[in-house]
Amino acid sequence: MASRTPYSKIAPAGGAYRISLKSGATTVLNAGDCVWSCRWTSTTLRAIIQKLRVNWVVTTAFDAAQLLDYGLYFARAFTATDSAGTASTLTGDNCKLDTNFPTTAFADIEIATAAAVTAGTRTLDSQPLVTRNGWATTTAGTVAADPNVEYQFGTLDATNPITLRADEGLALNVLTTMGASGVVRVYVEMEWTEVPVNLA
Amino acid sequence: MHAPPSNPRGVLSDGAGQFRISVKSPDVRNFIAGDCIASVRWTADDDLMIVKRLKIGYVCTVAFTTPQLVDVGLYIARNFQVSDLGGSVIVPSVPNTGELDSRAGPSAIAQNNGRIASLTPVSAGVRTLSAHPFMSVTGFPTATAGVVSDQQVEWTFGDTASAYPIVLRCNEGIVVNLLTAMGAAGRMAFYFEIEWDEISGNRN
Repeated sequence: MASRTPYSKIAPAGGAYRISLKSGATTVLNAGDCVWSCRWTSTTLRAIIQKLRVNWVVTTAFDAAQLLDYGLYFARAFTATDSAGTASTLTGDNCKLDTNFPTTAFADIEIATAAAVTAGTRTLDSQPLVTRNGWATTTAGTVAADPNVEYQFGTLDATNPITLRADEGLALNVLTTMGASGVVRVYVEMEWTEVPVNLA
Repeated sequence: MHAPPSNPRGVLSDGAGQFRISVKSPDVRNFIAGDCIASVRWTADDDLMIVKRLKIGYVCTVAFTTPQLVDVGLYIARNFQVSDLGGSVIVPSVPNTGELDSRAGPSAIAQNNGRIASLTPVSAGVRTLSAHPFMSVTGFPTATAGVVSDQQVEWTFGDTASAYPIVLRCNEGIVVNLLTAMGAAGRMAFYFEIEWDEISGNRN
């Protein structure tokens, strides 16, 4: 890694990146459907996930008020990448927090269109790492509980980040089936660093 | 269990000056997706603009005919060749404007290189936006005026020991764009706050 990172005393020694994605107008997704996912494939670098934010806005009301919740799962042993979502552009300077950093090594970051992301071949943890919940009323405009929250991992001295090794990733899944008529836009933001394997 | 790899070369806060500005648009209407609400361009050859804090928010001052999503995305702009035009100029180069300590001296943001929408959007100059925002703010103004954006907080970058700031180099900047077109009748006042350090480029 050619990156030099002199702005923080204990920041990981690698490039730093951030992306914010917005889904299509998702409708009638079922429990277990994937709305966002990423896959890391590098064998020389590791992805250190440091910040994550998930929010949503109900843009068309549900016929009946309902729970709306999503779980972020660790995905391991990828052998086939997810598909059918809107793939992000990860080439060139995209996502870099400093242009001097190398191009990100993420293989895939995608978000649902109106339909779910199609899961590739990977093994999810039995439980999510993070759950985001809210109550969608019959009025449009409801959002996640505490839409300001940004999860931070490893940004405090005594905490660890999420570390993705080759063919690992994350998947944000619907936990409760969406009822008829409701339309939801989901926003996912992620900030990470990419560090040599001998340092993570 | 292990902590992130350490990199002791850096400093947590440093530089020739620390700055912060907060600007507000008038009550705008009929902006379309992709319209620019605010932008800044860094033009100093030898120095870096280290963005530490950002806040973007809005208030719906006149209700929309139909409730709707209003969301904005913040992008990193690179390869500026022509500064943005139009809107109202943010003038941090006026002595002491935005300085957190008046000893720092004026910001190196050149005059006319920071703008916020007036009744019309900021007009994009020549620059390349990142394909995706690095941050988004959302909300859903109803048919009643007074709705604010859901996120009324300040996002921080690089202010903890293991996090990175946003580093802007010469002819780079930050652009705030509307993501969803505003419907008829509704009017919005947008607020943009940014806090940054200016440090010598030879540190990196």
